[in-house]
Parts: sequence; structure tokens; C-alpha cells
Amino acid sequence: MDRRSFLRASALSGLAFSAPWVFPSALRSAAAQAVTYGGPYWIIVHASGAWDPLFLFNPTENTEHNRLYTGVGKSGSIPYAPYALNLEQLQWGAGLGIEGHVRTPQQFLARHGARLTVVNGIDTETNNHKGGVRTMACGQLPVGYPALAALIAATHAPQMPMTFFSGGGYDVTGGLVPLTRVANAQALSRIAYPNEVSAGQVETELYHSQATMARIQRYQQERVASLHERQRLPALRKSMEALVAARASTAVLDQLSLPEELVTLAPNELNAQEGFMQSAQMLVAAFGSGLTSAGTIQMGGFDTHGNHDVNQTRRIVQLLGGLDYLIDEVERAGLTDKVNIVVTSDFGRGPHYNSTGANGGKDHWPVTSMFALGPGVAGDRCIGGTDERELAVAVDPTTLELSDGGVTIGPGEVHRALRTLAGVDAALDAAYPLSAADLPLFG
Amino acid sequence: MAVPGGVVGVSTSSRDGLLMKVNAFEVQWWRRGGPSDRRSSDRRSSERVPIQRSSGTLRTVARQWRGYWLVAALAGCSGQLGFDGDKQAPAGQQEPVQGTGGGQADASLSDCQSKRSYFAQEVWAPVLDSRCLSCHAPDGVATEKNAALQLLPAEYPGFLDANIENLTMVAKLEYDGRPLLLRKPLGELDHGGGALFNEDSPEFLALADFVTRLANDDFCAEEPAVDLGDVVQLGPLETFRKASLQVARRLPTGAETQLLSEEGEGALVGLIDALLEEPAFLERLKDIYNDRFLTDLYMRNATGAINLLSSADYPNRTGDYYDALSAETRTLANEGIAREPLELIAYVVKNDLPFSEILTADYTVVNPYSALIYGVDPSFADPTDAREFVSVRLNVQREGAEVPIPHAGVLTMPAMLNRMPTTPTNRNRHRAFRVFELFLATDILRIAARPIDAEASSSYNNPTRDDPQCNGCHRQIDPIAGAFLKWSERDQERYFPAQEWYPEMFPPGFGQEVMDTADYDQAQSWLAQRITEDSRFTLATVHTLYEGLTGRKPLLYPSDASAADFAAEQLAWDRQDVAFRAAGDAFVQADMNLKTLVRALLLSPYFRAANAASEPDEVQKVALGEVGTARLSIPAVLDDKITAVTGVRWARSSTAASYLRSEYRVLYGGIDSESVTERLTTPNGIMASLASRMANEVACLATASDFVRSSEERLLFPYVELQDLPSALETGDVSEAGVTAIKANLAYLHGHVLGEHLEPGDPEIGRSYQLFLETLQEGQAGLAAETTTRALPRRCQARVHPDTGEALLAEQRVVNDETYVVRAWMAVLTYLLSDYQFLYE
Repeated sequence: MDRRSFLRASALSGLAFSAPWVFPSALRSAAAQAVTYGGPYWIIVHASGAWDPLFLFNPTENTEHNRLYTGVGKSGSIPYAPYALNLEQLQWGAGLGIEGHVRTPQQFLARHGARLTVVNGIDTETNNHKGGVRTMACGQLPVGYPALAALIAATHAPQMPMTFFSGGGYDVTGGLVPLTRVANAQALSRIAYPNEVSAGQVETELYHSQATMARIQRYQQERVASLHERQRLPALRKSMEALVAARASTAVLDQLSLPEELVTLAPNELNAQEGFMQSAQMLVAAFGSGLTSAGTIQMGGFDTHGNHDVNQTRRIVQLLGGLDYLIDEVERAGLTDKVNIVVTSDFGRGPHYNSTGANGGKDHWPVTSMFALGPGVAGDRCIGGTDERELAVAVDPTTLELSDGGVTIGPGEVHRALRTLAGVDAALDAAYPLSAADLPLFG
Repeated sequence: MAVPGGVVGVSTSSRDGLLMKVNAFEVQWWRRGGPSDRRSSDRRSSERVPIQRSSGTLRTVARQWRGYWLVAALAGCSGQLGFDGDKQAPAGQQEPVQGTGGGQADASLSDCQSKRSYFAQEVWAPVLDSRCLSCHAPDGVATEKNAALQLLPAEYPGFLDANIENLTMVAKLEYDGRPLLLRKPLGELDHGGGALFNEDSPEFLALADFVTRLANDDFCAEEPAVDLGDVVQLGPLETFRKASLQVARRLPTGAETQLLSEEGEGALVGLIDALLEEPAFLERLKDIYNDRFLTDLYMRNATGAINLLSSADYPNRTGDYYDALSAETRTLANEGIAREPLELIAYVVKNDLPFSEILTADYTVVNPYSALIYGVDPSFADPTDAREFVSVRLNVQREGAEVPIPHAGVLTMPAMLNRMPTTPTNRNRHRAFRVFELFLATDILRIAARPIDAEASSSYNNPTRDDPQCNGCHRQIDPIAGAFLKWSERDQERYFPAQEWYPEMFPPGFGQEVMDTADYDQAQSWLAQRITEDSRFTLATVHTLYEGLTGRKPLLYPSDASAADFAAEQLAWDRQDVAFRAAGDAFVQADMNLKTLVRALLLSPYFRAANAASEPDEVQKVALGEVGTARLSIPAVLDDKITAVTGVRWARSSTAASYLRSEYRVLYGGIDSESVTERLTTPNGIMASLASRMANEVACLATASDFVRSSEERLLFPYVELQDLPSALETGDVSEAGVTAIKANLAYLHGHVLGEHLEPGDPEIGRSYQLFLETLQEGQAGLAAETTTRALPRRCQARVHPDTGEALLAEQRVVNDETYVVRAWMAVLTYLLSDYQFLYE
């Protein structure tokens, strides 16, 4: 950051202090002169541990690969694993209300299939969790690339105070934007109004008059600019720039409106889904406040090396239940036409069971699926597929029909398409190149 | 040094049966035969680019090698860890210390380069890494065929040393009087990879040159000093302040400050050693290691760790005995079990035991309360003190008999075994991954992060053992997994002596050493012994402490030799590697006393670098990228710092946990040891706003209260009284005495709060004075116009004594602010508490 940029960023943090000593909360909005972010917004959901695509939207009738269901379901153009929710089979108690929260693939597609693009037969070329998480989040296996969410945040709203909101998963920023993690929504209310003694009260004393607070900030900017000018070590200069940028972003923090109560689910069996839904609630509220442009949400527990049919199914129906809630929450916030949701996992599982016993698990398998929905995503669409050995089948690069001589879809192809859809800044795209084919995966 | 599987010793025969002769002298042919001469010719045509250094010396930083630019790490051939003591500030002089730079005016690459440095820059990056590694890596086709040349990629810690060792051995192998190393890449002798380059290629010349130098031992001695050019380090006072806040949770005392002022650098080592004897250091050390172990997860509720234990193994953790324990006893017992791994570390360090005992200890540690749950009765100095930990050996109950736990330091502790869990199908591989990560400085998944072919893999019945795509890593992972063979895969911390290992997996062992079945009963002790004898254990310890003290991860070796910044990145890595190895050597030489390592890191330029004497060029900007900690204080350190500086504990109430250790910990970038396990190092808007609120609240709580104390006892305002104003209220006449006192206190505050020692006439004092003056004038105008209240915000009033908590008499209270001076000082304190230098270290 050159001196001019540095000072300009510094000046941003001095906005908006002109109200009287006792500062009615009603005046807060007027005091916020900086502009919040209006979208588009992106949510990257990760099913951690590696899901089984055969239990989702890439079903198989091969009984060596699937002991859970028979037949193949289809909802519109999208195939699915046609299993019903069987609480007894899942070793979940009846009468707990579980069925009201979770969703089978069929139930999920019935509600959202018309907006969904599913990509099957993605060859991640890895069965290593860290590598799989990374490659599905940034598009390449080697270390060093920022997450897609970071590229999007850096493109659309780098100045927002919580522009990249992490609810877990791969959240490497590459230094492009700061990362925000929020574990306690209530604690945020006091932080959003740092000069109010009783933050959130209708009327509150201030620690410093508005003029004094503005003066403190002005001298802070001058001082850090002076320190920056005298400093020659790159790491120290960067740290000053990071602090200035973070301070600049706080000018709109008083726009933050987070849910007072986080959703809870009574059955302990659904703890994973409850955590997912709470993260969804927070992230959508941050979008609604205009302070966040991209975020991640994670649900763990998919690494089902043992008792696969029970444990994998339990997680999938919770994931789909959580996604169902997330999509509804987006709609309640009036953001349906602005929020894109991408759902991935480390890689796939199987294809065989690792034991002939009833409690057999499935081990790591590099071929997987992903799906997405949102304003730029074509609906009722399924691209790619796998053969009888669950190996990826290539697609024609133009028609996207299965084609032996075509392109095998990998994380690079998926991310090239996602970057295009998200309008990732060309310079950022060039800084983190992906050697993959351009495929119109999302329409 | 032990190296992971794949490296073999000297072989006298190749796979095609050729007999080779090892004769170092016969490589003389290559000295006569041209490569050396060609090299000389190359060197004559190369260009040196001098840069001006602040000391007036010149240093060659780069040279062109057939269009390939290399940055030369031109370290001098003598020196010590850190900086040359002769070049530091003389005793008592509190000037920042400038590094020696280690360079010499006419140092040339050929004249003065160690074998390691030469290999890294001339041979590894341009030749072996780019042309040979793909086949000669542990999972490469050449290695599969037992080629003598076996190389470790840069993801392996210690890869340079291992590769030098291997290359040194291979360079001695000859056929027909000529080194194989120089014939195979030409495509001769049935080289599996064919001809890689010709005799005129830079790659060949580099290899030939290295072989010649090996034969003649034509290298400089290893350079032990860290060469950081003209980096300016913190002086002894500033270094000690930073160290004391970082490891002892306090500011320097007056006596320490005086000693440093008088004796300067000479007093620093002794004072740091004394810091490391303070109990607070052990607390900080536990925090650092919890960042790795994450066992504080089990502290999040009162019985999180107790619930891990099997009641069959430890009957006291349930039933009547347990029911009779008070809630407080259970909480303290839980703390003892949850923190058992961290407390063993504290125990080892406190007692100056070799740090290797964290893995090799044939005992564990308990406090008086966890001893109750474990059913042991050791002797405690104070049986009510939950902070007292003593060593014991544990037994578990099995069918009425007592079975001894085969203790191996933290490896056999319930909290640790549960924090690196396994399953019947994972078969301890996750545990092996964690062992590599925590104690061998190896990210085994990063090593494994290369594309695999699912179709090829599906043709193997047992791919982890038979598929070359898999077994390169599993050959390393599975033997360590096997060392946990006696521990339940379902109930993580349960020990079953009769349990066997899986015959279809690689057998228990370490690297290429297979464990004797007679050792299975003590498998983890066997493993621990080998881990701690491996140089990677030292490196892992250095990495953990470095990251804990600086907030920065160790640099990865640059992966892309074609990248524009490759040479500069390699230089940065090399500098750090030199520093780490020197610190590690000091640690090992001190019988693995951890305090030695902490001291070395605190005195290193990676902790002390404050600035550069001149603007670095583009290469140096990359090479110095990690120098200077510039670390955003972690929540616990900032919390301690606030209290040390202001006397105020920032919390909701006097009995509540401090904000930065509770509800704001994760918001301010900390971890919860469960879902949030990586600290944030770059502030976001929430963190900036949080810091602003902290500064406002703490300034409010501290300012009026400090004036209640006598001037001698004050922490913040020892040089002023509330009556000290820059001008008389009635007349407006300037008060010289008032201005002098105010500026003196401002200078004190800059030193006390920020650690910068400035004269009253310094521009920074001028800026602070303007803030004070303008705030005072604004307030006094408001008071005169009656638009501003005289009363301080209630929270900022001093109604009780800050040290005793006793209610103050009416005349002692500071409730009203008749001249607005309290609020002017509050503004100054807010300004300083939210300053870059307060928030960063």
C-alpha cells in the first residue's frame, strides 16, 4: 500500500461522529455514512470428512456399492438415492420430532431441485482429507491458494468489516481480506458501538464526546501513518496496513443486526444440524446487514469408515435439513435473488464397503459430486457422472453430455466455472491461475 | 540423522548388476576434464550486483548464471546465533541494535559458501528438484527399483541434509572410473529416465562442480549466524519489555529497567533467564502447547475430561465415591485430567528435565484432585493446591487385577488419546498423522498431496500396502499407527495389553526400523525413544515455540523454482532455517532444556527485529518478509498487558472472567480448542471495534481511579495532578509548570503504555499533547456554555480505592470533572491503548 492509499484508508476510519454527548440509538443509522454491501452474496458449504455421492444425487443400483436402497429416483432431471427416512434403521428414537427437521434427497429435490445444478463425477485426484478440502475449496491440490470465498470477498467487498465470515472449513485468505469468526452473537452488540457506555440502550452515555472520539481517531491515523512512513520491514508495514483497513471497515459496523436468539433443535441427535443452522442464521443476518459478502459453513461427521449406511445417512439427511433451513432463511431475509450457495465435500467414498458385515464402512474415494443454487445457477440440471466402477466419466466440453473423449471434470473445472459465475476480479483470477478447461457447468 | 523411509545407505551394486568402485580420488578427472574450467568461465562472465549497505560495506546479492538469477546467501564464515555481539549497542546504550549482516565486502560465492548453502542453491533447486525428483522421490519409479539416488522432496523436514547425505554417498559410486551421478543423467548406463541433459548444460555443470567440490571438500565451514542484512533490532530494554509481557505476563520492574539501562545487552540474557523461572512462564508455555494439543477442549465443562475415563478402569470416576465428591473437587479433578499433557510439559520444564520426557516419561502427573479419580495417593506439599502436580504411575482395573499403564509421556494420556482419536477402520492412522505433525515437524498429508489415479488404485486388493500411489506415505504412517496397537479403537483411552496388530498393514516401527514383537508391550515408549532421538523432534519443538512466541508459521520451502521470487523466497527460508538449526543445536547441547530454546528465540532477530536501516530492495523485501514479529497480541497476552499497564482487569465485573479470556476470546481471534483451532493473525472490523471498545472502557476505569492513588503509587499519572493545567482557568495565562508536568507525564505514558522512550520534545509527544489540549479546550468550552455535564460518566468515576476496593471518603472520590482534565487524560489513554504499538508487539 502506497502512502496515498494508506492515508485514504486511514481517512475512512474517521467518518461519522457528529452526534451529541448523549447519543440516542435512533440516530445511529444517520451517523453511518459509509455504504454497506448489497450483494451478490456467496455461501460455501462443506460436508467435512467426505460424503458418499451415491447416497445423494449420483445413485447406483450396484449392490456392492450400495446396500441402503434399491432403484434410482429422479426428480425432474436430477437423479437421487431413493431412500425414505427410517428412524429405526438409523437407530434414532421415534417421537423426538426428528423427521420434521431432516430431509432425504427426494424431499430436498422436491423443494429445491428446480433451482439446483448437480455436478457428478468430479475427480479430485486425492483421497487425503486436507488435500480434498483444499482442492474443493480453491480449485487446486497444492497448497497456497485462497478459498473461493476469499476471492469473492476481495472482489466485491474488501472494505466491509466482516466481508469473509467463516463458519468453518477451508478459510485460507491468502492475505486478501481479513477473516471473521463469530461464536457469540450477543457479545457483538457491545462491540458494534464502542463509544457507548451501555451499548444497545435507547439512550446511553458516551465515553467520549463525538468530537473527542473523532479527534482521537484523527490523531491515531496521523500517528500510524507516521510509523508506517518510518518503517521499512515489510511485515511490520503490512501489519499497520491491516490495522488501518480493519479500522476503516468499522464505520459501518453499527449496521450489524444479528439474531437475538439462535435456533435450537430439541433432539440431541441433531446437534450437527443445529450448529449448521445457527451458522446459517448468523451468516444470513450478516448478509442482511450488508457487512459480509461471502461465508463458509461446515458440517462434520461424514468420514464413515465404519457403519456407513447408518452414519452416512444420518449426516446426509441433517445436511439437507440444514440446507433446507438455510434456503428458507435466505428467503425470509429477502435475499433469494442475491445469494448463491455452493455445497461440496472433501472427495467421495467407496465404492466398495470395507467389510462384509452389517456395520461395514466405506473408505476414501477420489471421485465426488457438488451442487449449487442461486441467481446465476441454472436449475433442474445434472452434469457429469460415473461409470460402473464409480470412476469419473468425461463430458463433452460444449454440450456437457457424457463423452469418453471429452474433459474429465476436476476441481479446477468447477472453480473456473464458479469464478466466472461470481465475477472474480480478473487480476485475482490471474494471480491464482487454474489449469483447467472452461466448462459452462452452471449454465 | 534418521530420515523417513526411502533413503538407503551406500550401495555397491546397482539393479543391473554393474560393479562399482568407490574412489573419491578418481573424480579428479572431472577437475581436469572441463567442468571446472567451464565453471570458471561461467563465473568470469557472470555479473555481480552490489548494493550499498548502511555500514558502507558492499554485498553481492545476485549473480547471473546462464540467464538464471540466483540470490546468494553471502554469509560471513564466522559468527554466532543471532547477531555478532561486538556489533550490538554498548552496555547502557539503549539504541536499537543493528545486525551485522554477516556479509563481507568482497565475499564471493565460490570463495565462501558452505556445502549446504551451495547444494541448496546450485544443485537442489536447478537440477535435482526440477529434473530428478519425480523419479527419485520416495514414491518414484527409481526408488521403487532401489536406485541409489533417493531424494526427499522439500515437504520433508531436514530434506536438505538428507539429500546432501545421499548425494555425497552416490557421488562416490563410479563405473569405468567415472561417477555414476554424472553418467546416468546423460542417458548412459541404462538410466531409467533416459538422457536428461547434455554435458554442456547448466544442470550437468552444476552436478559436476558439486562432485568435484565433494571430492576436495571445497566448501566453507557451515555458517551458524543469521544474516539479516541491515535489520535494526530492539534494544535490550525494549526486548526485555516485550519478552516479559510475552512470557511472564508483566512489565519490567524498576530494578530490571535500571540494570538494563546500566549494563545494556550484557544484562539481558540473565534477566531473560530469570523470567523463565517465573510461574507465569509455565502458564504461557501451556497456552502455547494447547494451541497444538487442543486438550483444553475438555475444560469447557466441569466433567469433560472425567467423562472420558472408563469407570471399569477407574472405579472412582463413578458410583458412591464420585457422588460424594464436591462440585469443586470434581472441577479441579477435571482440570487435572484435561490438562495432564500440558502439566507434564510444565513439570518437565519447571524441573529442568530433558524436554524429550514429554514423550519418554514413564510416569504421568496428577494434582491432588485428579489423583482421587485415578485412585492414587502420592504425597503433595499442599493437598489442597490444585496447581501442584506430582509424578505417579497409574494402574487400571481389569477383572480384579491391576494392570500397569505403559506410560510414554503425553502419548498415553486420556486427554491426548481422545484428542487424536481413531476408529476401527482408521486404525490409528490419525494418531500417526498427529504424531508426525506435533513431534516430527512433518505434515504427512502435505507430503501425500499429489494427484492419484483412482482407476489404478482400484486394481490393488490392499492399496495402502501395495499401490505405489499409496504406500509411499503409508509406509511411514502405518508403522507409527502400529505403535498404538494396545489402545482401544473404540474407547480411545483404554489400554488392552492382549490386543494385536493387523497383519495386512505395515508392522509397528519407525521409519525403516521395524519394532521387535517383544517390544509391543512398551510400543509407545519404543516409539517415543526414537522420535526424541530424531532431529525432527528438535525441529518440531523449535517450530512450536517459534510460532507460539512470534505468531508466525515457519516458512515452507518455496515450491516453484520457476517463480520470479523463488530465489528471494529461498533466501528467506534459508535464513530462517539457519536460525532454527542454531536454536535447535543450543537446545540439544543444553540436554534439551526448553528454557535454552526459548531464550535463543527471544534473543533472535525474528523476535527482536524492529526496522531496517535502509529501504530494502525488491529481493530483500521478499527475503525479509517474515522478519519482525509485528504480531497482533493474542487475547490472553493482550489481557495480561492491559492489567499490567493500567492495573485494570477488563471484565464485566470483579468476579467475572476477563472479556478477552471468555466471551471475546474467539471474536478477538483466539481459539476455543474445539471448532476454532487456528488463531487469526490479521484483524478484521470486529476486532478493530473490539479494541476500540477496550480502550474506551479501560481508559474510563483507569483514569480517575489512578488519581486516587498517591503520586508514588500511580501506574499512569505519576507526574501530574488534577490541578495541572496548561493554562490558568480564570485568566487563560499559560502555565509553564503545568505544560511541563503534562508533557513529562505524556512522555512517561508513551514509555509505560507503548514501550517507546521519547523526550518531551519529540513530535509524538507533541501529537499527544495536542490531543490533550484540544480535548481540554473542547470540554472547557462546553462547561462554560453549560452544554457539557461536570459529572464523569458514572462508570468512569472513582468511588472505591482501585487497590483495596474500599469505599472512598467523599473528599477522596473523583466523581466530577470540573476542569475537564480527567476526560482529557481519558482521551489520551484511549489513544494510547488503541495504538498500533499497544495492540501489536
